[in-house]
Amino acid sequence: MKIVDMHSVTKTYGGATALDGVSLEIAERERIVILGPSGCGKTTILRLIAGFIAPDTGSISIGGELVSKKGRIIKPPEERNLGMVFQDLALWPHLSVKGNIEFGLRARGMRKAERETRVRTMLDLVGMADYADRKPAELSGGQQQRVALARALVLEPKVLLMDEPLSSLDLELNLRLRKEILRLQETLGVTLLYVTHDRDEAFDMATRVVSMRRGRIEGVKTVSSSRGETA
Amino acid sequence: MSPRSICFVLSALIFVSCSKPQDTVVVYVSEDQVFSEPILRDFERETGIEVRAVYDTEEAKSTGAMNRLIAEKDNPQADVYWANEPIRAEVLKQKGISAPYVSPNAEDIPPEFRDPDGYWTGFSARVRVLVVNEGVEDGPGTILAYTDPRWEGRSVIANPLFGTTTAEIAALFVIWGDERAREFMAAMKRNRVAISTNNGESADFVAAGQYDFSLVDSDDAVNRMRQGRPVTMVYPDQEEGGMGCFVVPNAAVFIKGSPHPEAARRLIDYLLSGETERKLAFADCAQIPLHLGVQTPPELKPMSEIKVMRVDYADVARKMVEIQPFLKAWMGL
Amino acid sequence: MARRAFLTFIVVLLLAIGMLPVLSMLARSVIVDGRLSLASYAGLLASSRQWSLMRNSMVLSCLVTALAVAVGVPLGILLGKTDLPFRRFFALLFVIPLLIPPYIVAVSWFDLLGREGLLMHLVGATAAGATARLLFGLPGCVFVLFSIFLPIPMLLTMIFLRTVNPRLEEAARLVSNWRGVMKGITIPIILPGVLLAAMLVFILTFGEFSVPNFLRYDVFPVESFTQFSAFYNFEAATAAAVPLAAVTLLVLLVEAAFLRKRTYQLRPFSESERLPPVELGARRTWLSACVGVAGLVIVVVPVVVLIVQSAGMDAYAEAMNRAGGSLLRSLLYAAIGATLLTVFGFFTGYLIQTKAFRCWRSVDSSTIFLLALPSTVIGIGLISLWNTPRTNLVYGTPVIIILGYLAKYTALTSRISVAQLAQIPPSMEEAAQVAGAGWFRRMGLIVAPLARRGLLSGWLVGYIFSLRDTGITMLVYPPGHETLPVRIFTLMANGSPDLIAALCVVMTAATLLPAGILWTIPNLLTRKVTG
Repeated sequence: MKIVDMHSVTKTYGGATALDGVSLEIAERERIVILGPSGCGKTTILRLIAGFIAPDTGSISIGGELVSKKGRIIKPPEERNLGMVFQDLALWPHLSVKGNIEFGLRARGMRKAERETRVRTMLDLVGMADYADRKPAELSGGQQQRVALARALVLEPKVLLMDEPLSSLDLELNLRLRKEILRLQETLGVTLLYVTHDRDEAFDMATRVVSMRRGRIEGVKTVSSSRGETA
Repeated sequence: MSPRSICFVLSALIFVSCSKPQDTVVVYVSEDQVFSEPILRDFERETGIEVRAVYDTEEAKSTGAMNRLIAEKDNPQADVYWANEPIRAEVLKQKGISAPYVSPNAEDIPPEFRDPDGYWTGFSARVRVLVVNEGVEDGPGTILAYTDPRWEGRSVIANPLFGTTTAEIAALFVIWGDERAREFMAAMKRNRVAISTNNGESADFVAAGQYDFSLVDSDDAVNRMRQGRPVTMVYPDQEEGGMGCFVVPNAAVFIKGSPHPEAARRLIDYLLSGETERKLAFADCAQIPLHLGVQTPPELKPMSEIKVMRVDYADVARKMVEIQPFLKAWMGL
Repeated sequence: MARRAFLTFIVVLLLAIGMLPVLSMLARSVIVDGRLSLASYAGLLASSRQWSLMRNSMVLSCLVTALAVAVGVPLGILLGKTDLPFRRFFALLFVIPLLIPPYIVAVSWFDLLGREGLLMHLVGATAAGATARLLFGLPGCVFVLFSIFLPIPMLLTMIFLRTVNPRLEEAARLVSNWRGVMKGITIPIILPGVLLAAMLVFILTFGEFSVPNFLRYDVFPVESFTQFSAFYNFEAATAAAVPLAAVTLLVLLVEAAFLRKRTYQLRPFSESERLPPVELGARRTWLSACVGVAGLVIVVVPVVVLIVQSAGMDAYAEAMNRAGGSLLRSLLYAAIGATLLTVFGFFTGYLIQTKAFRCWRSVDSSTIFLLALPSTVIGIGLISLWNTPRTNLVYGTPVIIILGYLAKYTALTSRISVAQLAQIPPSMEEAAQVAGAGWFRRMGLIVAPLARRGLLSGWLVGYIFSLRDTGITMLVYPPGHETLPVRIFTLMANGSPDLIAALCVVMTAATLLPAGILWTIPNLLTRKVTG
């Protein structure tokens, strides 16, 4: 079943075309990686799907429901049930690790006891249980990454959007976190839409790689090899 | 913004303001700008001497000219001080900031309105009068009305910590002696007198019928009358043997170490002329000329027909400082 | 080396311009007849009245601060973050009361609500009597000062909102509506800005004398004022001003304690990735109406009262005749003052932000201290320091007015710079350093352009405060060089109400015009960057 359906979407920023008639269908539990150089429009796709911006033309559906259409956001981001990890992580500096993860649960009006359990589970899952009360600034890069993941996944989203999440890490950590992301994706059964400019990373993470250049999709490649080989 | 451009801006600023012509007189003015400025402009026109002025206001809003004169003592910038009452002129004399100058135009001015040594010379005076609402029958004719039970809660007076009100109370202390004056103030308080911020406001309260009468400056009363407000002006304590009303002349003061002494003398002569007095009488400030025979507007009595309180302004100035703690306590400060 | 030398130069200048006059005043207040004496202070502490005045001042300042922040922050969010109709117009509108000398705002309200006011003619004496009673005393004071200082939290909120990394808000938008995002993320992040606004409002209210005096609410500065105006006793007046400074330092300490763990080095972000304004949807219209009504009551009414009072071209002709020259001077001095304040504020802000010297905290406190001191103390200090035959080039010229502005208002531009510089990662400057750029080049080509928004806001604030200053200008202006607000002030004594009103309208226009032009510049700059 199609969980995300972008239909001939165009997006321009002040005269510059960021996306030019892009269509993309993503099936449930699929791992799509969008690969391309910076400025090719791959981040714009994530922001469109997240609902931060509206497409100029075309439409976007999530879970079979129309969410954006031709200059209009029909469903705001918070109603789309998505998780997202930003390139700069965007951890809230004034909140603790726990506070960061808990924020979405609070916004849903969840009771304290349940929030506690969910946060605890999530922290265990990413191996950060000992750091619940730290502020983001007091964590290492890899730890911040895990918190960002936990925050994105705690609401059990249908789709997890990741915008070059590992680009600032050294290779060793990068490789380790790739595995962890895949493990989490497997465990939680979430659909993954992942953006990177790194070819190796793309083929490591994806079931399907979408190559982009200058706002257009150049090609789609299905990755047949199991990820066991790369590991 | 680099240091170079800061220097540029600064030097431009200095350049702009350094085009000083030779014929200049610097005057600090405490008389209201609305009234004093036209006089100074006339002086400029008639003599060609440029007037550079620093204005001030008497009311409790600013602390300009006097504080400047005192702070500038060691390097005076001003040539002349136009005080709107003689007390400040006395303070300047006592602090050694003024110098004597007897203008030829001072001759006709009665001696009680000028300093015997020439440190200041009075001109164009305000008189302290009672402004009374027209609706009040058989109104007060003396300032003792403030303590008369008949007027309990019906009178208002400006804050005695400021301006001419302070001066008049100090004058009462001089004339009556401390004991009687203190008793008067206490009785006034018992009689539930209201306090306003300034004389103009007192006059407005009376015009609005909020209170029956108030002790104010003659110009405050005349102004309300000219506006057609329902008030009359009463010169208090004019009866046979009465103490008369307190007179507050303007005062021209020559500043010690004046940078432009020649122009300063000419300005003082000009201020002390009958013509200046006539203008100030017909302007909204309605000040009574001190020279004999200068025309006065119909609302005002000429000075010769007013019974004037006989008091030495130097004593009043000293008394003012002395009674400040008392006045503050009286105000509840 | 250049950096150290230049920053030292700035600190020394600041000391010479601001602190030296004040220190000389303080020294005079403890030296009586050539000997050390605390007599000036003893009298002050002995009086129980002082304590009740202090309490009045505290109550007034706390109420005004609380109200201004409680209204100003949401207002700033509405105007700076949403698609509220006419938001740009509203932002300008609400700033107006801040541009007018506070005393004039109070007078305008008096003209409306006073016993003889316009309202009495409209609704009759009984109702007007009630409003007059409300106007005089604490409620009136709180309201008038609130309307004057409301723009401070509003503007600072708007400025700080623009420095929040939009990614942080997007991350929250995925799980929450805008209300939740604001409450949980954005407002906590701009908290330093809100605190700064609260502190400024508190300090400005605390030192404000003219409005409480006019509206009959006794506050602490009255003591210092009386000493100056009735006794010409500089020593006692300075002593009476010291508790004001003490309260300020206390506020400063509280602020520092709050902020110590709360400053975030946020990463710079590309403007093209900004979030579009928050859509208010159906509430758009009525929210706009609410803001409009508030603007009507707080701003339009007093301004209209002024305009009604000034009706007729005669008043304006007379105003220009009386004050044309002082208007031009005001604009010139305010522009120069604002420019130098921006430069000064930028470098002191840089010094404070980078903690370049160990004394950075004292530099910060000094500027705030000067902001809080009564203008008269600074003014008299400036005179006693600069009025010597050798320094007539300073004292006898408008340079002294500019020095007064710098002494009093550097805190404002310095704090704005600190806030802006905190958003620029040190790596920006370091990268330029590695590339071989000297310090001046780094400041001029890297840091200053990155901080341009802060510099512009600083200039604007410096301009506004320089233009409306009366306290210091009044005392130090060279004869014949008075500024417009000083002229309004002195003409106010017995000047005809229509002339005063006309002058106030001219003054407001004079401030709004350049402010309005500048207001649009940040957006021009932004567009240039994106396009």
